[in-house]
This record gives sequence, structure tokens and C-alpha cells, in this order.
Amino acid sequence: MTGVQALGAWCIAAVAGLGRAGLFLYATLTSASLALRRFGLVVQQVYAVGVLTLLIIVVAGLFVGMVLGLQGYYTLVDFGAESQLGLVVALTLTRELGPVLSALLFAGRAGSALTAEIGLMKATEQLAAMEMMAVDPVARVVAPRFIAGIIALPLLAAMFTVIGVFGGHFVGVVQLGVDAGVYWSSMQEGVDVYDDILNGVIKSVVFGFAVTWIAVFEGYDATPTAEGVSRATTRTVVTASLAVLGLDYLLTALMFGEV
Amino acid sequence: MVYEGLDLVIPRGKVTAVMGPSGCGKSTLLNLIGGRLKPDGGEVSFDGAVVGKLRQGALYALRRRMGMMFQTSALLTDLSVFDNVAFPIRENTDMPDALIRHLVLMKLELVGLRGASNLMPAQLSGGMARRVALARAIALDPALVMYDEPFTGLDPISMGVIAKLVRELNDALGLTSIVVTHDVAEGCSIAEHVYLLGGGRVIAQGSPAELLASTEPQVRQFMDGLPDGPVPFHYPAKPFFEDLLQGPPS
Amino acid sequence: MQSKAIEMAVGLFVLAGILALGMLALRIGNLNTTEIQGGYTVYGRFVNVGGLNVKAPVTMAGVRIGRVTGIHVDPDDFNAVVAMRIEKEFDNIPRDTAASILTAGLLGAQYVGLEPGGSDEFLHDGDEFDLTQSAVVLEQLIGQLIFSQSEGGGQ
Repeated sequence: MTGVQALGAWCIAAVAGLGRAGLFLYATLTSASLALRRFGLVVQQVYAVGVLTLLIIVVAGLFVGMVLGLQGYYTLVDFGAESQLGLVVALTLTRELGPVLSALLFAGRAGSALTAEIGLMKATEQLAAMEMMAVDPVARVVAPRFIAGIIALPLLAAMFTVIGVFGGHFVGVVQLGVDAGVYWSSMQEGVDVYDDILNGVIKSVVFGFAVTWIAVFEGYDATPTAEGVSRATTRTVVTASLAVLGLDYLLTALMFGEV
Repeated sequence: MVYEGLDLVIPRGKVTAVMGPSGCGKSTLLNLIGGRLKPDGGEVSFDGAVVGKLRQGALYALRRRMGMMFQTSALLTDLSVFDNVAFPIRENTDMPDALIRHLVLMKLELVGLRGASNLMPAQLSGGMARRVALARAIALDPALVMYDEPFTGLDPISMGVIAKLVRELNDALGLTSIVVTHDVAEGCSIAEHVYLLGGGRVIAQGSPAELLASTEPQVRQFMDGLPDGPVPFHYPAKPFFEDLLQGPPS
Repeated sequence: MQSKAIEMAVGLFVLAGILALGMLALRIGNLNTTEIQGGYTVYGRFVNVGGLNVKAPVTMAGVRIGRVTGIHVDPDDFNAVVAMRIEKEFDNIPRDTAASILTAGLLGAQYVGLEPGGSDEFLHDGDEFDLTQSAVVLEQLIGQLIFSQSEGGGQ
């Protein structure tokens, strides 16, 4: 009986949480225009979530591209199709690994930081103090971070992809001897600007929206104690990562399903 | 349910202390006045406006006439002392920078921290942080300033400084002040009127002298800090002997 | 001072991101090569195009000189008609050139290879190749192989 009760309580809490997240999103979006008018706040947050995430994106992109180059080469060479290496590396990165891996890294690096920051501001009564100073914390604190996340992730994903392609180039062309011209031309012939690249960018915009939403909401909704903030941070990484992977399947089915 | 019928009048232009044991809803009272909580029943009116029934715009307009100093000081950690005090002015008005600078330096001078204006909150001691929070609370020249536990966790010198500032600012700027505290000595030393809360009600009210002279047991226990009395030392339990006889639960 | 530095960093970050997007579109993708400026379109009629796709390269002696721009079925004779856009500098392709659908490597992508003839007349916009060779379909090839093997075994 208690098991059933616990399940019921969990369901009720989950639905209520979803409702709070929805209302919170509505409040954020309605105050987004206010944040856009004071673009300096957004710029500061692009620095915090974008520039500070750049290093991990560059390093990860390089290694992922190198692994793709290596694995792709050894698989393709068995069929005498190593001339298609550039295409394999580029398609894998533009369609999937670029948007998805950078969103996962973004959730771990920037998302957790956003949750911790907003949660701590709540725990130390900074948000309450803003309210009492007649400043809406959603417009002043949350909305700029939300917009910055949506701007930063697509740019990070594009950099991840480009660096990955160069990583594949390094392994495939420089080390394993695929012809450089063939590497790039096979890529250009097979990768479509709309089907592959634009869809990849759309994916990363959606991921940026989802990850940042989850991160700022978890921070704003955190229990205002040290323990509550640390649990909210963990929840951000877990929920955002799962959301990225789930959304990725949905978007892939929608975008590439008919091809 | 925090309150069981609570009726307070805060007189204009005076320092009113709201005292009572921890958990009796003192901070809740400030949140009700500031409109951060809505009462389940009853109403809070501020200068004729019913706080709980205002729309967001009107509520924010009202809050520009209130200042609040939080127990944790609640300084914005990514802004310097100067920017913290300037924050409410910058966010709520279109004043030019030169004028804001004058106002901020004036407020900081009042609390004696003009020299610290470039420090970050992490570099301040607890007492200094409270003083900055106080300067920020009066930045917009409010009519009402609320202090949530202003004396908690301070050394005696800082405590004395804060008490002096609360009193002097109230008189010099013509403020109305509400000080929520459980510190009897400091509360009584600065307030003209004291409300003593307990069990969700006002137990006693009057001038500090009247309360100190009261013979009512509830008042006496709080004022003298007695461990046992109307507020019992023991958490409600069945008799000790009975509990011992029962043995461990099967 | 500090906010200036942040603005610079963010500016560089956004610039790098836009460069990366541009690189994706131009260097990795094919935005600059799909549209052949000028040039002319010729058609080839094939019994079977196999796995030929739009945007596949059209090559002469292994060098790309154009792209496939459209593939559709002629409703009268059920042959596939492949439209090819040839770049304008190759305006002297002989009229009797043969077009074949070839495969790059064993499993690679398919493309159209042109085998120049010896005619003095050149192909013009809207012309059709007279000689075409369809794609080799692996299943049919294997079928033929088994068939000829079994015939050979019978003798």
C-alpha cells in the first residue's frame, strides 16, 4: 500500500513540477523583451555560459573528430571506400554528434553552473532582496541567462563540428594518407546545406532552449539550502542530458525520417 | 497556519520592534507586509493600499517606498559595494550616472562605509555587510524600512553600530521602522513600541518599559530568558516512566 | 574596464561561432557548389539509374565538370531522364559523347561519367545524349554470373 502511495505522490509531484516549469517558462518569455532591451546583461551571460564553455567544446570536438577519422577509416578501408571518409566524419558530426555532444557538455558545464548560481542567489535571499527592491528577478536574472543559453549553444555546436572535421582531417589525411582533396570534396558532395547543416543547427537551438530552461528552472525552484542547491544541480545535469537525448531521437525522426 | 488572529498597527515615524521566540512567524510578517506572501485570510494595508490585492505593477510601485534589510544581508555577490547600493536606483529610475554617484556616496557616508565602496561583498565582515545592506535599503528614500533580525550573529561592537544606525536613520530621514528580532536588550533599547508575539498571537504590547515591568508569566519568560515556563522545556511526550516500562517496539 | 574585456571576449566568441557556421555552409556543405553559375543543361536517358542522386557529380576523364540537377521518369517509355548542369567553360563536348552511370569504388556513391566522342558538333543547352549506359545493379550482375557459371558447368 505504501508503495502505491509513494508512486502516486511521486506522480503528483512530477506533474506539479512540470506545471511550475511551464508557468516559469511563460514568465521568462514574457520578460524576455525587457532583457533584450538591456543587451549588456545578455552579453555578460553569453560570456559566462558560452566563452567559459569554449575550451571543453574545442578539446572534446578535436578528440571526437579524431576518433571518427580513425574508426571511419578502418571501417571504410575494408570496402575500399576510404575516399568517403570526409563524408562519414562530416555527416556524423553535423547531423548528430555536433549538436548532441555539445549540448551534453553544455548541460554539464554551463547548465550546472546556472542552476548553482541561481539556487545560491535564492538561498542567500538575493532574489528576495531584488523583489523587495521592486526588481523582478525573472526579468533581471533569469531571462538574460535564458537568452544567452539559446544564443551560445548553436555557436558552440558549430565550432564543435568544424573542429571535429579538422580532427578527422588530421587523422585521416595527415596520418593515414587519405588524399586531402578527396577528403574535402567527398564531404562537399554529400553534405547538404539544408538537410544536414541547417537541421543540425535547428537541433542545437532546440537543445539550447531545453537545457537552459531546465537549468534556470531547477535553480529558481531549488530548496534554498546548501543541500537543496546541490541536489538541484545534479537534477539539472541528469534531466537536461536525458531531455537532449530524447529530443534528439524525436527531431531526427522528424527531420531525416522521410529521406 | 502561522497565525491565530493577529492584529498589529505600526505607527508612522517610529521604531517598532516585533519580538518573539524563533518560529513564531516574525519573518512571515515582513513577507506579508512586502507582498512576497499573500495572506490566507485578513489583510495587510500599507498607507491605505491593501498589499495582498495589488497587481504586480502596483505592488512593485509600492515596494519602491519600502526598504528591507535581510538577515543574511543578501548583497548581490557579483557586484561591488557601490554597485549594490546603486542597484535599486539604477533599476528603478533613469537618473544620470553623476547623480547616482552622489546619492550612493551619501548613503554610504551615512553608514560610514564610503571608503569601502570598491570592495566586493566577499571582502566584508558580517557587520559591514549589514551596514551596506542598510544603505541599500534606504537608497530609494523609502517611507518604511523593515529589518529582519538585524542583530543576529554580530559581535557586540557591530551590534551597537547597527542599533545606533537604525535609531538615528529613523529620526534623521523621517522613516518608519519595523525591527524583527529576538534580541530583547537591543530591541528594547531602540524601539518606541514593542509587540511580543507567541503562538500566532500578540501576547503583549507597549513601550519597552511597560513590557520590562510586566508581571505576566509569558512576557516574563521571554524578557528574562527563562528555560521553563508557559513555553515548556519538554517537547510534548507521554510520561517518562511509562515510556521506560514499555520496552523496545516489537 | 572589466566589462569591456568581457564584451571583447563575447565578441570574439560570437565571431568564431559565425565563422564556424559559415565554414559549415561553404567548406563542409555545398552551398557554394550546388548552384553552377552560367553553364547549360543536357539530358541523359537511362534504363536504370541505380542509386544515382541529385547533386551527384558529372565527370569527364575523372574530373568533375558538372552536377546532376534532376532525375525523373519519362511517363511514355518509363526510362529515367537525368538532367545535368555542365559548367560553362566546357562548351565543346562532342555531340556523340556517351554518358554512363558509374560507382566510385565497390560501394561508393554513384556518379555520371562522360566518354567523349569524335564529332565536330558540340552539345548545347537542352540536348540529349545519344549513347548512355545504365547503372550496374549488383543483384543483376550476380544473377548473370550465376547463370553463366551454371551454363558453363553444363557443357
